[in-house]
Amino acid sequence: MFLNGWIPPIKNNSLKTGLNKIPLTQSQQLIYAGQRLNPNSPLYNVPYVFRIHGPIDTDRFNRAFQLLISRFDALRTSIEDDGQQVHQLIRPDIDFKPAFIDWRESPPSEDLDSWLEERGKRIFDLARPLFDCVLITLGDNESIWYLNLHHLITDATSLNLLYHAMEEIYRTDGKANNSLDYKPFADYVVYESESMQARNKDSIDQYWKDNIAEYGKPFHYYGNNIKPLNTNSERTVVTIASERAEHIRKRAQQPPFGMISQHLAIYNIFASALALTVHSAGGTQSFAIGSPVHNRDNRDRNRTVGLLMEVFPLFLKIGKEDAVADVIKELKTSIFQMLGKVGAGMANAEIGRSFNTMLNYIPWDFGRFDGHRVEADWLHPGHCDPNHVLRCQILDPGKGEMQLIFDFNCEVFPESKRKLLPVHCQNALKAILLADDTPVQEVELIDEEERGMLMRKFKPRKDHADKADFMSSFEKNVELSGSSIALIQDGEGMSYTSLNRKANMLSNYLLSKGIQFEDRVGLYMTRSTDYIISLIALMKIGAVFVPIPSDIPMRRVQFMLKNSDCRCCLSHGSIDYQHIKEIPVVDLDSDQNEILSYSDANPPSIQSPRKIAYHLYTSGSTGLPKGVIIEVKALNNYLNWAAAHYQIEQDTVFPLFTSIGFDLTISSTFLPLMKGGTLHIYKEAMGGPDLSLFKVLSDNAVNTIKLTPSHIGMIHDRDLGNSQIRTIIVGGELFKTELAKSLSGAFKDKASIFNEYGPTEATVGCIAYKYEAEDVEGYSVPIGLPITNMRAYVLNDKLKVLPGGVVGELFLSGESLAYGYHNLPEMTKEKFLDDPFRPGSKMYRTGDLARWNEKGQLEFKGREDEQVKFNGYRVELTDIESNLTKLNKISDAAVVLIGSDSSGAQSDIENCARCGLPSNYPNADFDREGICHLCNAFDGYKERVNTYFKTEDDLRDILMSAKNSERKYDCLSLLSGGKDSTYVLARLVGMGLKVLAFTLDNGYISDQAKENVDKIVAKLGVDHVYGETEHMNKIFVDSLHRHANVCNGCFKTIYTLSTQVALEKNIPFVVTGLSRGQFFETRLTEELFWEQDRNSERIDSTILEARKLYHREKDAISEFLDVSMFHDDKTFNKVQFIDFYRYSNVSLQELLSYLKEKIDWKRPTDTGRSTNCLINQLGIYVHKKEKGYSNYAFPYSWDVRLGHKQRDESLEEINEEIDEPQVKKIMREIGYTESVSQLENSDRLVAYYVSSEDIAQRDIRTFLQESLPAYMIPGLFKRLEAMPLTTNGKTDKNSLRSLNKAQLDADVPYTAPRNDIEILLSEIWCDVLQMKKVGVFDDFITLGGHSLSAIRITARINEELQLNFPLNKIFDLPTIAEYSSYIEKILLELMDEENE
Amino acid sequence: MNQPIVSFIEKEFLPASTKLESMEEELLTGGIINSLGLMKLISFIENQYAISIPFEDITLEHFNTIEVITAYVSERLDTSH
Repeated sequence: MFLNGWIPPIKNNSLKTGLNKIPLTQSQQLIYAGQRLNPNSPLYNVPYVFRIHGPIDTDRFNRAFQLLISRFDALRTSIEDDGQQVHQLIRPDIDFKPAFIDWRESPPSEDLDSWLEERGKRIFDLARPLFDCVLITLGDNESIWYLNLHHLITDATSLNLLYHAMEEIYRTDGKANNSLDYKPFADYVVYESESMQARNKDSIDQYWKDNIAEYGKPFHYYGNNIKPLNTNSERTVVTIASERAEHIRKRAQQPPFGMISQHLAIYNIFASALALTVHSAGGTQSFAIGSPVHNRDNRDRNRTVGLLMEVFPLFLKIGKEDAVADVIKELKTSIFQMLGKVGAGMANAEIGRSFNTMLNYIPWDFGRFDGHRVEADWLHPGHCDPNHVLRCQILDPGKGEMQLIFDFNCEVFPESKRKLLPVHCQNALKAILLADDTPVQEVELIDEEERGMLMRKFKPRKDHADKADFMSSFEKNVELSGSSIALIQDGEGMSYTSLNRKANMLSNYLLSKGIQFEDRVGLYMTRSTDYIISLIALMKIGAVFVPIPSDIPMRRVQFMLKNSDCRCCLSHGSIDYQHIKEIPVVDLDSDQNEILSYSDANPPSIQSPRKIAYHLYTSGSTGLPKGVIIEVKALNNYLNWAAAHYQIEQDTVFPLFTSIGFDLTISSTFLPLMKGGTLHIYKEAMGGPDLSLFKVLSDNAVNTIKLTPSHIGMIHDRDLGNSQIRTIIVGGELFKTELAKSLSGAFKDKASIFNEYGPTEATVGCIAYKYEAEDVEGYSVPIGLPITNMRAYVLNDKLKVLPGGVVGELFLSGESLAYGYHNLPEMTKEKFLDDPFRPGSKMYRTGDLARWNEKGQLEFKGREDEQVKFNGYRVELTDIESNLTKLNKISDAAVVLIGSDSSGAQSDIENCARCGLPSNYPNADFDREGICHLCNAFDGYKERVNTYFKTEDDLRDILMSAKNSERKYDCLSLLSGGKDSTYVLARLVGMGLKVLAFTLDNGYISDQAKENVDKIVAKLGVDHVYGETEHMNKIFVDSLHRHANVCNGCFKTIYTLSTQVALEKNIPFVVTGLSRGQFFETRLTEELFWEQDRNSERIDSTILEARKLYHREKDAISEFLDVSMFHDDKTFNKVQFIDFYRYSNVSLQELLSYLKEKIDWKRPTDTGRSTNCLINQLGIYVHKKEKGYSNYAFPYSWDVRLGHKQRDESLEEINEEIDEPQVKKIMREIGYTESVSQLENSDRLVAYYVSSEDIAQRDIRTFLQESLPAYMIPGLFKRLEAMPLTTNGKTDKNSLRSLNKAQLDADVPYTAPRNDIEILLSEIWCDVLQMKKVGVFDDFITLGGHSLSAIRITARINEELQLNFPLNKIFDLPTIAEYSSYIEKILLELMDEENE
Repeated sequence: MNQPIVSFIEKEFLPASTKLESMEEELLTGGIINSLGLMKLISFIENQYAISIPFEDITLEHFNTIEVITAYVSERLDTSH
């Protein structure tokens, strides 16, 4: 009945005349594209309903509507898409008649609302008219005018114009001619195109680009990181009552709001409120809100119907300390800024993608229709562009009520959140209207109802009626079932009675030794029956035990004993406790006989109830462990809850296989003994990895186990279907869903899996969740709900309760809380705060991130420090990890952010007090006086170094020795024009030698330096040649890539070209001007001076060997220059290199005055630096960027060490300012492009995965792209054989972070050394190559190894093994694996020889 | 001196061949110029008189009538010279 008028036929003749075919505007293109993507979704329908309270004449209405069509070209527009191009067709006329429905006589089968809802969802055929118009007569005095337009031809202003035009035409029955003044949309299309051409596009585009990069990052509402795919949208309408609406209108006219227009001021108010909501609900500090701009900036466009509106982002940043008033002010500026940058046709797709939230303010003033009262309504078509997950609209009739409309994407906002966000927004609005100095972080957006809901969750579970004390329970077990087996170790069982007797004897013994109530006693032991006996003995006498694991460094043991003020320490034979000097050690083995002589009856009962149970050390951020004091009541609270929750009974058998120093182990230690069960003890291996878990599984003697996710990572792919284990408690780390699934599968779904969360400071576990596969949606298993007598809060920085779903810091409160940190009152205060929700109690700040999920369970979201900032994004590493493990072949994954080597602010850098070496030089180690390790080591071989240096007389002898009248030149002198090389030349001439001066023109010698060179050779009267190569720039680039400087490439070019000249001209010596410091950079190493009897000749021959290798390396020099002569050993005899300064100890002062006197040498001023080479600073720039310190830092430190430079001079030169624009210019000239990591920072995300086979990086990337945004995709994926673990069984991320750039780039998985020789080699490599870790398959050259490092490594190997390997071996066997099997072979041969 | 501004407003915002009634006619509160139009007027003034107008100054007090606009622009011209 309502089809009449729908899908109007196009008049045949309309195609012939007056048809206007024009392009789409920018906005239309975006909408058209969106509709094409969702062809069956009415997401761009804009249905309006006007309820007219008065009689409407249908014929007159029809006449009016026909006139309306003829006056507005938008209504005559449709889309033509020929597959190539898309146009809009504006027809001169169309045949359209509104549908007229009369419901007075034939009442509808459905109600009006559902009729409208259905009608509003109809899909437009874009090739036909893009609107729908219906008049429904409901009664004699009531009609509905339904007008639905496709967004392609309308915007909010257009609807208003159309309504008024229609009303006027109807009222006057077409006689009024005001409407003729309306302007056609086609004019706007032309205007847009002209504006776009006239505009200086680049600068404005750049404005949007820059700001989008900073603010346009995606954020997730209420922690829901779903990327919406469908257009389903739900609308929530909030009515703002008249009184409140009037208040808003009034406030809009007052400071700080008051703007040029009331509309803008109201927009400012609502935008500020929405901003607070986004900030809190989206957990983001900088963001963009889409803001429609109607583009009607003059009279004509003010009277145009069509889509003129474009949406632009409003950018906003809310700082941690910002007040509400700041947000308003910033938004005001932001609004003006945006309005100043917008213009017709500017809103491109990139701008459109920069926000997911829109705010629209719509003046809602339709006035009467032919004198009749009208109610207007804007229907929601139930769909919306999925890029706009939230659209917020304010309909303001100017007086009376306002409507606040929220259109929610249903995927992103589940129903609960669709209810809550409007509440949060209204609370934000309240705060904004106050506009005061309240910090944003203190504004609470949740209302009492939500708070109550969250608080109900906080409310503890019901307490157990029969809350027992562990010791009483244990003693009861002894009494009731003394013969039951309490402990088993190495197949031997110990009954409760026996355990109790032994504990009693020890108690009585300790009492006799003076151990008293509340004394602390260290338990430095392996996992053993001794350990259990000891802790029970100590508890019996009210002493406090301090577990100290056997596998931690000696110094840490000493620290813990001292820090906890232990009275004595219990240990046993298998532990080396000799280093404990300050307190007595009781050795349970050697003192056994004495202990056994004590009574096995219970010790006298203690005078007052025990308060403290134990101290447990956790690692602290300061690098020193902190002793957490656990009270008896806290331990009991946990044990009572856990025993009930995990159904611990007499038949429970637990393994004790994790470190006794680990909080997680408390469960295994106490739970079985509390309930009369059995504890199976697995002693740790002394040295080497702890493989106890495998033993636990192969013995298959336990039914309950507690372990970490990393442990599971080692076993989840095994078949454990026959295991007895029925209860698995997981704790200690984030538990990934994929791992849980796979674990459950491994046990054939026969085991119950529990996820338990809790920091040591809240006693083992205080939040728990029973894993149910179908219940878990996120990437990690929820941690669930607080245990008995515990509460959990998710708060912001100002300790305000966050809305459900939002990630915040987790705080804990309740009976399980620790007493504090021993001897650390400040830190205790910092971490244990007053609980604002329970006055008088404490609340522990966990530093962990968490959120309440939709199901009302807590989810752990990683450590605050697991959330890294990467290129400005907040990245959740665990999120990436769990997605990786979804890839079938990957069994475990860890992602780390690897920082640049130059980490640490420049201001933190110290310089060696003696030589000036910067503290960020690799492996730099300063002593208490601030002297570096190089200086300290040098003290030990200084004297031997001195024998390497000679006198000028020695030099003259050498140079004269080859003097030959047939030769034109006695030597070739390398001259750069700088002071050092000039001095060399002058001295050589002074010696009466015939010298040829050689200068490399690398293209960057300054003009003054060249003049200097010409003047010098003229003044000294020597011949001079310039060397040059057209490949110099490529050599620079290669050198920058290889060595992060330009000098290495330049030096080698000089050596190569000067050797050629010397060979041609039969010159026997090339004399360099290298400083003594530079010897240590390029020729000498500490190792050369180790041997007492090492003489200069032997050093020289080693250096010569290294030089041969150096010239035979493959690099840009060997590629572009002729290096064939170096393949002939004879070349090195024909042309020898002499370092002048080996023979001269001239001081800088002497040198300068000599130069001034002899040749009037002046320092060039046109490089602006101390050097005479312009490109040199590019090298320093790159070196500093990549390594954090200047490439001159090391050689200069040697110059200072050897007394050739003052420390201050050296520091001044190293810290010279770099002219960055100049550097960038030279980079472009030589064709060097900075790597992306250099440009931004060198941080990168690296993913490690465990898999039996290599997976192509591209495949992993493609896989991740399906579920992660681009900024979360790691730049690199490295395969590991197995995940490295810490001693507590957690993933050792520190170790994963310590691989360097070259290792990461190399296409080899990291493999740790596998035997003693490999360990030795890897230590040497690490030391010499200045790395933290070297894998046995890493390549020497790839890691930056060169001839000098070859000298050092070879010398060290030879020293360690007392062998004599040649230098070149390392180039032949460039990996530790190869070299070490070669060594092994040689050693075996040597042994065979000895045996023969 | 305000002639260019008057012409600009008449050309851009008034119906063809209509003139502003007076120098006190309310441009913003009177519905002649909307906020987007004002941004356009401001950038015209900035170019015409080579002055820059900070966001804080975009208020009714400075822009609601030709009279106040003229006063404001003269003041800006004085301070910038």
